[in-house]
Amino acid sequence: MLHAFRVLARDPLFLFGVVFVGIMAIAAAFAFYVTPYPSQGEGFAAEPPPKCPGLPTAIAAVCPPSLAHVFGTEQNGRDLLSRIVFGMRTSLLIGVYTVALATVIGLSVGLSEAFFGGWIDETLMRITDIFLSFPHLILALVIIATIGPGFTSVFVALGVTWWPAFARLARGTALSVKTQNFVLAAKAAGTSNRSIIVRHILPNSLAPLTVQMSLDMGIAILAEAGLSYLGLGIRPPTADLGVLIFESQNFLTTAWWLALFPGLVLFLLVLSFNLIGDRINTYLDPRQSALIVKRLQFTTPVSR
Amino acid sequence: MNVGAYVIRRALLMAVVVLGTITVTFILSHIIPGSPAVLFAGPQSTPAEIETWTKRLGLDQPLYVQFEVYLRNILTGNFGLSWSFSFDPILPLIEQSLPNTFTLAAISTALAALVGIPLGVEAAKRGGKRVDSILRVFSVSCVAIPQFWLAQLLQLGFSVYLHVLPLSSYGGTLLYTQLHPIHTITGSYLVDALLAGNFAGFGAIAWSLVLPVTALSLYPIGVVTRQTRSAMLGVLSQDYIRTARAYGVPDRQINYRYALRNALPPVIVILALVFAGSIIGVVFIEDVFVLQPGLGHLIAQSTGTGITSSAIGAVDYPLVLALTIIVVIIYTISNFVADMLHIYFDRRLIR
Repeated sequence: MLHAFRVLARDPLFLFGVVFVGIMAIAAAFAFYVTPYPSQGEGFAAEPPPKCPGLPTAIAAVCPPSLAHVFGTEQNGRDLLSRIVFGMRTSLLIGVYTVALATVIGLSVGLSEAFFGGWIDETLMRITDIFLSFPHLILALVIIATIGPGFTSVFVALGVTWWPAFARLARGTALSVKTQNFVLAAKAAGTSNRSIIVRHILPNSLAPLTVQMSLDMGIAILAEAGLSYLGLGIRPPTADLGVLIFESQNFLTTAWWLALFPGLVLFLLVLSFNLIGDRINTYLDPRQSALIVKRLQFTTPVSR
Repeated sequence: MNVGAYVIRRALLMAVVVLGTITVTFILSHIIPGSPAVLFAGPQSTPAEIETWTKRLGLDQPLYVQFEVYLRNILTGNFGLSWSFSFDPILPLIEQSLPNTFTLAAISTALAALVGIPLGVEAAKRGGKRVDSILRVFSVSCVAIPQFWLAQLLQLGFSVYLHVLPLSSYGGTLLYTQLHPIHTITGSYLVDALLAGNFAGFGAIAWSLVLPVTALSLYPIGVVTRQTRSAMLGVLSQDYIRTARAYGVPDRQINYRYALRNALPPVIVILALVFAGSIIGVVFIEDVFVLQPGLGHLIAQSTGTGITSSAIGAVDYPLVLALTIIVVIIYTISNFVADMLHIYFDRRLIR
């Protein structure tokens, strides 16, 4: 693992991804202190409402980027930058919750399949297959159309659609761990099943899952923004990147900054997560890691 | 296990998924708040009227009887009436919208193949060098761009500021088609215009489809580039390629005749999956560009969230559930085709 980090730490794309995500996460966590207008970010109205000179919009509170409002303001006069930072917080939170939920469900199913085998394995694998062949967006749409939009609905709906990938991965790794000697020794010593799963198999199956988790963070954030854009996720006035893009639709021809900045932030966020996952993936793949190592000019042989 | 058994197994899985979806939608249709009887009876109806409607809709029967009726209805194609389209029957609505969406998805899949495969080959050819890195970042970016935002940006750039391409597509050409009706053969505006020899109409519709297709294809291009690149890298490291090089076979021939041909199978499988994904991804595009009639437009309208829907949150439950079933059917058929392609190319995949 240390070897992996030494190579990755010299990869500029990976570094960009990690640094960007880190900065955004810290900014989102401390959103209240970082943004210039925190109350507007959370959705309360701006007082006094800003007046913008000479703008062709019917609503005078929509101001272009200026010194006071770096990204401009939206139709309720709220500062866009603050809204974006708070929106990032919502998006990141939902991403984390979704991936956590999917991992928990996927791990439980995958580990049970691998450990118990037999008919439990067969049944669970069929169920996993069924969920895998379901289109994710439709399942999420239907779930949310039934239980209504909102923060909880979104991450529950998305988590329920994504766990099959984790289950498959967990099952594969757990199967190979199960045959290791230390597991057989634990069984021979009479350790309870629960103990074996939790203390031996689980920690050793986590490694490939982390790559999947980071890739899925990007996809989860994108899916959540899409659902909010359709009005089925987070509803306004709670700030969320998808909601902000949705709100900008009516002002597309007059206030371009409303559409550009939230989407740009969303894109860079998802890009960073994808870069991180992609780089780790490339490193783990023996065919392609040779190319990275060569290009980053490791001339001396690196020992594990 | 031989090929026949595998095919039967996948077909059975397909049937199970579809049946499971129908069951789930049936359960959901009974969980949702509000009873259809109340809706049909109207806002100020007496309990007696609601009672009549309940009997008429068969809602007072035991659950398994209702399910049997539901199943029989669906298998004969009766999906019920849509709430948001003035109680039109649903199946004709969907039938009307499918051809346009299929056209869009097919064009974007073709574009993904035409652009993605050469880019992937280029990236694999110079593995590890600068061009490869740039193409890696490009493909990862394509996958990361939110499609609805990209659609808005394209509208902003090309329609609003450059006045080059139309803002909303069939919305503009819908007017065109109402003025110059296109004889309907397949149901898809683009194909029908071509088949009827109406080149002016074909040009207008194709021009208005440029932006939506671009917005729709960028994600598949990224996926196909990445997949081609990794497949090509795998093939290029093989011994027979090295032998061909040692024999002095020119590089271009190696890349295209030997390597690409062997790298194509997983790419073709991905293309089938990309087609399936495009059918669903079309939701955002058809919403932003107001492409009606279309499957994505129906989906956005039924969940009460499209640009043209009258009330946000006015969910049209029969339509949503019917669309779920239809989309799942399309999706599982595409997955099945992808599976068949997969084993056609590589028998070893059958365990």
